[in-house]
Amino acid sequence: MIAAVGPLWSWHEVWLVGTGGVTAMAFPRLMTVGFSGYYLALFLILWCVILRGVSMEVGGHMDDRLLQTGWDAVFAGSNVLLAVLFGAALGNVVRGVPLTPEGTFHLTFFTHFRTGGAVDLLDRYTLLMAPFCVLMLTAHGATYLTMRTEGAVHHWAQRLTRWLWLATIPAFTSISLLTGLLRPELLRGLVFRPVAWVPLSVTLVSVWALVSGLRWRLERRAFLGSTFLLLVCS
Amino acid sequence: MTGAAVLFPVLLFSTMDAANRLTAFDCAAPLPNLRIAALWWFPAVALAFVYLFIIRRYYTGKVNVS
Repeated sequence: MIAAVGPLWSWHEVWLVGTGGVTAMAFPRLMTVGFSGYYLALFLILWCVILRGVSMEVGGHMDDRLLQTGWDAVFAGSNVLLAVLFGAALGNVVRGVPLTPEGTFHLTFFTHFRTGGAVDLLDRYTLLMAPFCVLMLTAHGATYLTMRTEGAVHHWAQRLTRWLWLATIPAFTSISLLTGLLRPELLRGLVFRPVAWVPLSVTLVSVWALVSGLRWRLERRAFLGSTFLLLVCS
Repeated sequence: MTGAAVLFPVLLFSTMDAANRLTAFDCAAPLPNLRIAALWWFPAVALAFVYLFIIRRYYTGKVNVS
């Protein structure tokens, strides 16, 4: 699995840092408000990113089996936690944050689990969004593995991919309904804003590419469909 | 991406008071700064994609752990 990811992990982190940098450049006030308010979550994300990179680079040079297993566990744990944190972050952005008139906010882990008023990082909506994101990203990763591997890992990934994408259907439906209840402007915008029809069309084409790619074992098509689906659904 | 297209210009909603939300117009950098940023952004993105294509060519093919 690590061999399949290869040097691409550093390219991904370039995009992560680059996106943050561009956002800071284009919307400096958003970044100052966001970085201080989301400090706890960003701190955790940073540690996960560090551990992810270190476990890949250091773990690969270990001869001792026990140490290799330990670093593999760190790699797996940091990746899962990253997916959870990104899901929670997306949930926070959609739900909103307790912005004061001065334009600042502060989030701890949790207090009550309601979605209005003085909310925190985790509430009933973000606690559902986080595992949904883990599921989507796991399905995407399994799709990537079917494209980049052969042999036993390929067959295992192929079986896993179908079940994971099937599981995303009810999860996506539930999350979409909840999001529509929480943020009705999203549904109104999808219908009444022509600019939103472009990503909507890309979504439909991506779903077609993913389904047909899985059905006819066209792995590259399935992966591209999965990639664009994640891109527009975020 | 869809969310950004649908919710523009709102960048961050407030759960306390809807009037406290942050919009793109509230948060945007001054126009001269954005013009300067546009000059380096396109070459930087091109470099990132060049790196991707080099990696893809160098590590092409499938991995088989036997």
